Amino acid sequence: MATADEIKQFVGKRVTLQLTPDAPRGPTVTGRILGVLSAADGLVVTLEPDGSPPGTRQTYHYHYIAAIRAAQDKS
Amino acid sequence: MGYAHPEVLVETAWVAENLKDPKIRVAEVSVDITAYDQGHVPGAIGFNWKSELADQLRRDIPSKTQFEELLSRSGIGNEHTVIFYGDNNNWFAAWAYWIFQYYGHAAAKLMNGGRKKWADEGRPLIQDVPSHPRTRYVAKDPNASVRAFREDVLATLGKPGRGLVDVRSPKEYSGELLAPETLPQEGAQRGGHVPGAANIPWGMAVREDGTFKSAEELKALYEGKGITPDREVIAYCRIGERSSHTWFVLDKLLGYPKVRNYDGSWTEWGSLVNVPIEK
Repeated sequence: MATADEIKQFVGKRVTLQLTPDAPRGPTVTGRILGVLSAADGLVVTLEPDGSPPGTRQTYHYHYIAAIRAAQDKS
Repeated sequence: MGYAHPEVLVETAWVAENLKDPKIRVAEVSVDITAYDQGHVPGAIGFNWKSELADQLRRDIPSKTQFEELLSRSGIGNEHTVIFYGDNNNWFAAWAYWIFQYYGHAAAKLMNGGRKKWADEGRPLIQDVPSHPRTRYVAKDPNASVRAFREDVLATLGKPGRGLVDVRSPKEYSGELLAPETLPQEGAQRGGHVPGAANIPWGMAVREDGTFKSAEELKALYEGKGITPDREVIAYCRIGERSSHTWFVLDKLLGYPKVRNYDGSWTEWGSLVNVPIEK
């Protein structure tokens, strides 16, 4: 599982999330991390997926994020 | 599509503009019970969720008498509108709001985004504690329609017209954790979830700044997981505060007609003898 500190480094950047099997909309999602919320039960990650209408948000609890990596530039 | 009851939510800017309104009382209820003393919204009262929003002998919310005494000594009268906010995105602010609804104080609102948004906007947090004159608060009889007990949860099992929403983190839902990972792993004898419960963590209902998502987004979120307004819905978490947040969303923002908060939540269900659990 990706750590909260690891995920926070990507705020504002395009990333690819590799999601756990029980996560919604898996197994991977690519888009820009709009922000994160820290709470006592973990990090909440909000992402604007590539190709979605502007303003679209997908939210993931970080327990669902198996791995995170910077996404390659769109060409 | 807007919120079903938009009047229950106020923005930080509105709170800032109305701090001196004598008909308004602002109250902080934070998970971190030291947060209020470190600094709070000017004029805000602080409620301690451990000692003031819970009975100190039985495991229960405050009795009607205790609730009346708390509000009276805090200077909250029946005529006041109470604005709640807190840390952790209003977990215990929502808990307080829910208790106020249980005792019939309809004039209550949540500050959208909670303490974090207020602070992020550079608004003042002060240490002065307000002194309001004592009131003689009279609570209404409990509104049983907002609260579920274990028997109600049992009665939900296997009934298509009823739905359960578990708002804990995915690892608590799966049984890998008994409590949020930052807390001691205690409070329940078993891990897992109530059979048939949909896992929709509370945080799915908010934007990256902590404010609630739009009504359209919330509708898609809950209906997409089978939590539809035609069902009688019970929300639960570990001790009932995170599920108050979801109860607020379903009842007040989406206007579901029958939503209850199971405040016994997992610390009760996960310790009960002879009830079913799924992992």
